[in-house]
Amino acid sequence: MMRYSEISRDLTTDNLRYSEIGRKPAADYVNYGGQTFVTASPTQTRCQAQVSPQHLRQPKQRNSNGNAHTMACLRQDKGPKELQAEQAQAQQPVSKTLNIKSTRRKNSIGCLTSFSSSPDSPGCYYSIATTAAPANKSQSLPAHGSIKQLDAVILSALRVPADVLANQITLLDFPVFALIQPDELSSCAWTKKDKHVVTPNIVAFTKRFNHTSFWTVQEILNAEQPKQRAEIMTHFIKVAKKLHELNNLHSLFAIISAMQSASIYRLKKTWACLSKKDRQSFERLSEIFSDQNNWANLRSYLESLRLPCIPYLGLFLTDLIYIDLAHPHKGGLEPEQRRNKMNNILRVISNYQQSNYQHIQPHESTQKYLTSIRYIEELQNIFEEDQYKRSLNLEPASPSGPSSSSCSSKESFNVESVTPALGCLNLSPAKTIGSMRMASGTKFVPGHRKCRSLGTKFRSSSLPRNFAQRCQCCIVMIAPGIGTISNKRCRCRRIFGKITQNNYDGHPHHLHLEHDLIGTGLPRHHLLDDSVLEHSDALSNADLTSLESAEGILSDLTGSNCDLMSPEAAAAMQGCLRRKTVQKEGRKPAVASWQRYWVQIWANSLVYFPPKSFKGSERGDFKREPCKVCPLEGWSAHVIDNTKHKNSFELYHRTLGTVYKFRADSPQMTHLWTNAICKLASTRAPKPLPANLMSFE
Amino acid sequence: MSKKPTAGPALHKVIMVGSGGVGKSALTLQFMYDEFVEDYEPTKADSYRKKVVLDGEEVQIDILDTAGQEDYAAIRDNYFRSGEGFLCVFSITDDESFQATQEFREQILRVKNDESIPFLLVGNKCDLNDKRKVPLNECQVRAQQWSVPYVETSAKTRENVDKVFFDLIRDISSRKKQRQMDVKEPAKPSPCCQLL
Repeated sequence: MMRYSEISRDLTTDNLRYSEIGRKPAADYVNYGGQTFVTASPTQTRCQAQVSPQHLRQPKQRNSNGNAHTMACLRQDKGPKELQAEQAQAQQPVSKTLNIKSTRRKNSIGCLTSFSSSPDSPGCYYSIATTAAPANKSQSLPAHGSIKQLDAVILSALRVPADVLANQITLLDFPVFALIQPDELSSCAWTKKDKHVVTPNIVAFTKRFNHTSFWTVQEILNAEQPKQRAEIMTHFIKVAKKLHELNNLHSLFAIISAMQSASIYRLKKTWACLSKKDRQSFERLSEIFSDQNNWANLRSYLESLRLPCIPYLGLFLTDLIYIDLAHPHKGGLEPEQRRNKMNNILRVISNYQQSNYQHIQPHESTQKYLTSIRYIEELQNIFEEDQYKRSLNLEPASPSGPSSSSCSSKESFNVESVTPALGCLNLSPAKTIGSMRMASGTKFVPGHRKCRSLGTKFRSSSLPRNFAQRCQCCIVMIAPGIGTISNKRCRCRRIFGKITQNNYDGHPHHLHLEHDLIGTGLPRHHLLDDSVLEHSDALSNADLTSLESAEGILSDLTGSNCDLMSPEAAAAMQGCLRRKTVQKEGRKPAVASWQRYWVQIWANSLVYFPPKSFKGSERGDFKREPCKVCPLEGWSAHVIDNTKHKNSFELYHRTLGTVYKFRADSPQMTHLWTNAICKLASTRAPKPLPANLMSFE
Repeated sequence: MSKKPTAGPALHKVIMVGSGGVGKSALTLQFMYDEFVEDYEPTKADSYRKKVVLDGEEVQIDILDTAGQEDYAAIRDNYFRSGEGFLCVFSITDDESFQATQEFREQILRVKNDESIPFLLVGNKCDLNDKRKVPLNECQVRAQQWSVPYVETSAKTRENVDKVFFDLIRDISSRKKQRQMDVKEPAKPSPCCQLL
């Protein structure tokens, strides 16, 4: 499993490339495709993902985790010289800002990628030893591989003294806090859809909270042994104490919350390794943030403090929301009570904003380290699930305990029971190919249902990895459907749809299959997300011609009628289709009408999502819960040449005597569907794939 | 401040969950203050605590609503942990808020480790039925899947506001009583694992 922590840490918008680190040596690389479709000619692409030995060393863990690697990147071995040249290119400064374009939380995404390109950048965290690592060596965990090059780099929180961390966190927090405007606070819009526009600084400050908290959890979970984890926890308790001294209640609460999060709280063995003194310190600090009596402790503590202080803003946010509600402003003069109460809070906050932390010296490399921690607000839920899963792996829930019982029956959709083919959806996309050719015997990862959901895998897999520099062109297709059929799935998909968007905007060198499809005049649906349609324009502008490497691939796809489609590509098909029953079990139905569905191929099944309303052919016009799942085994499809129903194809099952007619919205799409279905129906026992991902068949 | 009346009426802790803007706080305020909203003072320690008579017995209800802090994702686990019952609120005019309930439910179960934790699925804003985006039967199906009651409320018209709170505390209270009759078990959760 590729864990989040192994992703390199810089967040850049202008360096948008996804990649996926494989978990196996190059020869096995093909296995990463899974439902992931990788197109790139080794001779043409300069894409390069390096395989981490770390990953090789932990095959057990990863396999058992079962992650979906939804994106894959082709790896190509390079001569050291060429590599160096590329690295040199890659060492341009990169912006570390995360631009969130969308205003909708779930849909929006900044960017997912990371390039830590300069060797002395702490952004390398878990990532790349840029200078001299052999092409196929790790850029992953520092403990292995090219540690020498990483000496200058801060590798973990433990390497920085607690007080330095607390100081630098505070220096990073304060400017964000100070920027918050009274207007933002009185708007009460920070939970609304337009929060990024109306209350950008509140959003940014909240993000810092979640970021710090996420980092804390991640650091603790990075250690394999309870003792090591306890050591890291102790370190964070020290940081917390120091933050307490600095009156930085914002980050103090973030760290306390991290330790109280589901992933950490449950680590019985780890807590047992903490010294009594540290546990008491922790208890004492967490008492401040008790929600008892309307946060009485926190309120009185805040009052007792003198500047400088960075308060926990959330408390004020709730108060403001309640004031807004209790004394609504219905036009005209603002009610006096409302104004007074609001102003009281605004005054208090503005007072805190006068704090001065200038006595703290900035420590550049620590700040770099802290800011390089990859965190994407929009993926928060997914990260959290990943962490929870990691936590379960580290200290499994006791089989007899209540935790296991809670896992069993809550499955909203027990995938395994539907079809064995779907069962594999629960498994790692990293081995999706494996699972497609798989083996009913593949292990189901026990644990919380949440962990089984796609989200988890998707996250762990799909985030950009320590991916080699100068990935000029890596054509990636996100496998959309791996995992439990749940809302989460869809959500992830949406998120990634957005990512793709950003890619379009941000980096022409990065291509997705979506590009390809659009290049072939295929429907304007984003394969992953309905929302991307408008991007076809962006796409055409995306300077496709400059993508020498891409062209080859494009032509591969465009050329002929997609016979080159790999099972992986086929397995990732989805779109809006109309369906009519022609014959069911040998009989013609009394009434047959065209029904609209969002249809998606998951593993080797066809999954139907019913429409939400009467029109619309975007993903969003269909429900998130599937209504039918139909294994493709035994079915075949062919295009109907019929002028009356253009773009139709038939799906039939000889032995069952059932025939359905489908209508797509373009001839290309019709072809793609037919091909995909035939391909999957015929590849029931997938063959080992060739090492060269480009030339299937 | 934190002096708790130990011998006072039983205290039931209710947590409001749901996306931003679904009306959690409106429900809370309606229940707490009814038409006396003017009395509301956000910072008072007992602003969210109310004595009510439940089936002839006086109990206290303590409502934790973190409206406005929805995006502080990291704090959720901890306050879920302290909850004895949950009102999971969405707006029937906002499908996304309905979808989000799934996630909240999962998080709560993860933390509480108890499928039968007192829990109500609440579709708010039922006065806006003409703008309904979430079909009634979908809500009912979801509630059925979770084996929890589904109630539609309107903080505006006060429809079912008392009902949801009372139904929930009735459930909490009966569970507590039952547990007392069962074996005596550790009341305070250790920081690792809670036996129920």
